[in-house]
Amino acid sequence: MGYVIDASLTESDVHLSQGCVTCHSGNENAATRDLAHVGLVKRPSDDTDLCGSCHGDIATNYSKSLHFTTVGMKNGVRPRLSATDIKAFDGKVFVQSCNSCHASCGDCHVKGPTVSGISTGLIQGHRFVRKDDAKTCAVCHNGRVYPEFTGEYGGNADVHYQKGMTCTDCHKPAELHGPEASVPGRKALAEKPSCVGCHKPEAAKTDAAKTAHATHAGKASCSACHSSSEYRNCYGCHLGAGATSVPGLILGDNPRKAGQLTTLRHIPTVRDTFAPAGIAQSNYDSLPNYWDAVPHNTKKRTDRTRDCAACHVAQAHFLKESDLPVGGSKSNQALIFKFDK
Amino acid sequence: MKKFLIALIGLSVLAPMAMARDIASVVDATWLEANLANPRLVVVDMRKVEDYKAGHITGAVNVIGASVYVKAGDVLNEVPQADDLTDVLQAAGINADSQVVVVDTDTSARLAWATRVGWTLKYAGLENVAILDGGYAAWTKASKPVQTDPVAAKSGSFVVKFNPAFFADKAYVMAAKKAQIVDARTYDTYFGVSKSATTAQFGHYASAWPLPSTWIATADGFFKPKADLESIAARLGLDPKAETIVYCDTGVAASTWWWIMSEMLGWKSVRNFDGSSQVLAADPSVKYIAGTWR
Repeated sequence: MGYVIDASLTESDVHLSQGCVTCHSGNENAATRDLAHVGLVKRPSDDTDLCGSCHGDIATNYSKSLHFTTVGMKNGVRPRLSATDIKAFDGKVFVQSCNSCHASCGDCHVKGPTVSGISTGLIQGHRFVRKDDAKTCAVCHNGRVYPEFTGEYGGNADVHYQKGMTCTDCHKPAELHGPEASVPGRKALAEKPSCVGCHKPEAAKTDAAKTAHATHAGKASCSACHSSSEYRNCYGCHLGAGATSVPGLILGDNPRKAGQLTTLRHIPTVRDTFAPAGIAQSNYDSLPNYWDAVPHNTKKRTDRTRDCAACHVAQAHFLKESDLPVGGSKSNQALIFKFDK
Repeated sequence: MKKFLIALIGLSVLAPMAMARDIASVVDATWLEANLANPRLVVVDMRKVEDYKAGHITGAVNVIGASVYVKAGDVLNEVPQADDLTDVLQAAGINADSQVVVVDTDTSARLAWATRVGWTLKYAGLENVAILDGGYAAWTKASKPVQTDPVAAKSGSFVVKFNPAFFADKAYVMAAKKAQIVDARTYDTYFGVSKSATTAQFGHYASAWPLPSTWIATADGFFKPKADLESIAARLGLDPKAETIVYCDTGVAASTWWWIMSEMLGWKSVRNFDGSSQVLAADPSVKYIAGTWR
């Protein structure tokens, strides 16, 4: 990544053909830098209408998308908040914290996003690129997901990455740019990757695999068996102080689909996470401390696919009472998987 | 019957010859460019997918290193199980008679990772495995042909059959009282001034010889000449004919000297201790020695 604009792009990239001020404002005829920068817009694509003047529907949809609005984060925590809490959360925490990380069009197509106040620079000398997963997706999702996908978190690289795939091979523009109507969170998106979209269970190569898939259909998620190694679980987040993380592979009852064994990821929100902002989380126990997650470390063969006893006898990786965080949500208990359900 | 026996004897003589190494253990960019059209050649680019997609040797397939060294339980950089590794190597288009050239970013900072992949392929049963001297950096510096389009290989037929003669585990090391043990870590680590987070104890194992992996490369990132490497081992007093076991912290740095001794110098009995100190020093019954040289 770099910070120097490639001057030749004014000839080769149509976006730059009208000059800098078309998007960035300022005064290109001014005699000094200071005068030239009067009225400068650093992040012009924060105004999606600007991109929308050419990329109509995409920009319109994107203005309501989760990457742009980050409402998924707001809606994710909202059930824990009273009406008073919500007002305070929306005014303080959401705007100052969650929404400050939103991605504009330019964050994915011109420059890498700014993370923790540090700019990651232009992707290709200010060239507008269709995609560059490693310089965009990977930068924001560099805590969870991307390093797990590449194996750099310390586990095994995802088999899709091993075969040369990166984010946008599965996550298509319709998902990333958002649908016409806004959705409350990513789980509500109609356009999103699905394992069975490519891998039909009945098309497995061996009879054993076919039987295993048929037997576990609806009872276990794909990742419950095919997540290969530990992934990042975050704990103890306090507003302004951050969280700590620990590797773990956790299997439990799906909080969004009771009775289905799936991979769980611990989320860092604790009872007093928002205390510095005067937010009490009056309904803290209404949500568990774990959510169903698809760790991006998929592998054909794992300890569970190799040996039924890994789950049915040893219950390897299964969430246990002793694993639950002290002082955690009372909803956690329901996530301890029981085979007799 | 007589003809059958003659044929059988003939086959038994020819078979080892057919499987003998017919590619140098280290090749340079000029050799590789001249052999790119060889149908038996498989250039394995072990860099990250993002780097591979940005540019790679023409015709090279991408087999990321993390496909070939994996975490097993808490132990880093282990050999994958045979069926998993077979899938990876077949997807790369590798057959039993392939000439496989391993390419990493360079052979300075990344040299040990290249030899680690090389060792794994040899341990998996492939005969003709080489490492590109200088790695991709040397290739591009020499303005050799590159491409950005990923290469989809026609599936190969190679099936992994591990060669136990190249491998040592903890039990083997502890029982090998007559073997010369080589510690491929830095002098600081060997002496016990510092240690890796993956190793539980300071110092080195029993009678180990210090032979740092960093000694095998030139300042500009190429393998030192064979004679120089031979001389280093000789001056330390190592016997090429004795059984040798190389270890380090996680079995990566150890693969450098394994590669040199076994593949470049032709020593007949060299084993890489895959688990190395992360396994050995974790055993409380094993006492590492700090503060002494051999």
